Amino acid sequence: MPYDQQEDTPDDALLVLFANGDGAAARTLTLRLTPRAFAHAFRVLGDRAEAEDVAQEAMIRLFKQAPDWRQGEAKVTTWLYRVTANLCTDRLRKTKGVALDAIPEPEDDAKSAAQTLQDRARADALQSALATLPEWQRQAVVLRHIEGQSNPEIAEIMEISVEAVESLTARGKRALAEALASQREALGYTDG
Amino acid sequence: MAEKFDDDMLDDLFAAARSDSRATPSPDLLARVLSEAESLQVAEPAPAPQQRRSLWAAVVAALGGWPALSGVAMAGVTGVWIGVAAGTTLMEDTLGLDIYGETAQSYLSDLDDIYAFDFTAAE
Repeated sequence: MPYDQQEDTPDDALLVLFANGDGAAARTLTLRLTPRAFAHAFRVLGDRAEAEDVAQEAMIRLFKQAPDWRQGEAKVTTWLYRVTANLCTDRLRKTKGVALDAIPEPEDDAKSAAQTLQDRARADALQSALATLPEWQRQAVVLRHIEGQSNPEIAEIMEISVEAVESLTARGKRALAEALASQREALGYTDG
Repeated sequence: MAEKFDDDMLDDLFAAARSDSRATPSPDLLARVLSEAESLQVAEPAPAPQQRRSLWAAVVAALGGWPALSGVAMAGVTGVWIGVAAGTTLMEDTLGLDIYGETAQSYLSDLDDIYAFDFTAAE
């Protein structure tokens, strides 16, 4: 099946095609799912190089799983997020820290320089605040509020109850607000 | 009030994080992942090519496979056995005449002396 005809093909069907040697399915899966694995790893780890390693490893594991993939049992994205989250956990336990300085400068010509600077400052501030959260709170907040996963999906990814997810995200948001309290005005937020 | 403010600020920061271009993978990473995917596809054992079927196998299959063919063989062997075991007795009564007609006696006499009876002399 040509690549341009696979945009609407579900992830699990693409995995079956991939396992049968379909080259277009390899491309579609790579372009569709690598950004999700990378974004999650980057937001949790705060380091592009580390996030790239994690995303690549997660995708390789997905491709290796393809021949044994059982359709209808689990969402492919849920499986991928779980593997990515576990790989991030392994990295965090090894490094015990986040190298925010390693974040490269973005290129964005569409916005004004001032707007770009403020957006970057806000994203950096959030990334720094996320890094202060306990690991599970961080993973849950990123999945819920940045990547837009539902609580039941997060429960499946993290292999905990929905109630535990709700508790983690609520505590995570309170901790983020506290961590950012001193920077509100600098980030352009004024109360009143 | 402060809680609402914090929620609004966090929602705004989450939105900024979603549009942060640094959270998108580099083309180099995508190329590496695709390369890994393709090498894994090559590494998978290719499905075994279908063996070409011989003409004899095709004939056997057309007749319904070996079970059907054994039935045909058995019927043939049985026919031969009946023919051999019965010898000339099957033609002893009227069968030979039914087959060969009235002028058959000269042929039958070639097969066995018991057919050498001269019917015309008996009349």
